[in-house]
Amino acid sequence: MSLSAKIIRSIFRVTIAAVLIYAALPKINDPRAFAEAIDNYRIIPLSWSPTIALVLPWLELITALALFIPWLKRSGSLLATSLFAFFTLLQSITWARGLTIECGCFGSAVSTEQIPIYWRISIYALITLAAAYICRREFKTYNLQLQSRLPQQP
Amino acid sequence: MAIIREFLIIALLCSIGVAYSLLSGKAPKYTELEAGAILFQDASALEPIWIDARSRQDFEQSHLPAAIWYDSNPESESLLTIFEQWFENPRVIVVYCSDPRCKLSQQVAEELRNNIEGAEIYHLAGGWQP
Repeated sequence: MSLSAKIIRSIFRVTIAAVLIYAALPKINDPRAFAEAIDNYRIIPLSWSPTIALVLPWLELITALALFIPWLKRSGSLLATSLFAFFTLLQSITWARGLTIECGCFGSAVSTEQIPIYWRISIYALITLAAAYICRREFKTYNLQLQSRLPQQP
Repeated sequence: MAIIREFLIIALLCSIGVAYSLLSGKAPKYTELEAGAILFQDASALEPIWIDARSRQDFEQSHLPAAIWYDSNPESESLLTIFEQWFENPRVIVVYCSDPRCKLSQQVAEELRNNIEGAEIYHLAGGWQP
């Protein structure tokens, strides 16, 4: 892998982890506000939102950390891709339904109301692509490592 | 198989985090809405007639936009004012007080239901605080 590819991968990794940590910490601190934000989407039963509000921020935080732990990089990148793909889809559905609600993406501490929803979708889509790129590279590296461990044919 | 092991480790770490949140008392709770109650976000979306069941002093300090203060005095004209507003533009009526345990909004909502026939009347779940 070339040096520029390594640099790009590192930049992507740090950016994705930073977004995930920035999103997770306020929600871990105030899960009640996050549960209300989830309710506003009107997409799941109200009784589910407390559990999701409790689990999702931790999943974001652990995913961010997993991106830097050598033996968790593959699953971390796969989870990051899945999470951002889900957020992109959720924002797109919200836009299609014509809902004008607070995103809740970064908890109650940060308001994203001023950011038009199509910008939010675009940003999430770009991060999904970056995460997918890292994910692909991680799986490729893992497969190469596996192949190199196999006994050579005479 | 290795990827499954990785996911299990992530799930375990998440569980530890969730356990921490639960033990620190930050976990949100789901409470079933009682009959006649409405959540603030639902009520706001309906652009209702807001009725403030708190004290006059609290109302004067702050209240929801265009809210009507409800005077429980039988000689007051609160009921008439509310009826006029509703009659001019029939819409949902939501009564609020300040505290989640405050029963006043429920009592006022019940009183309004008895007096304004055909109106959709709720009390605000959790109350409203400025």
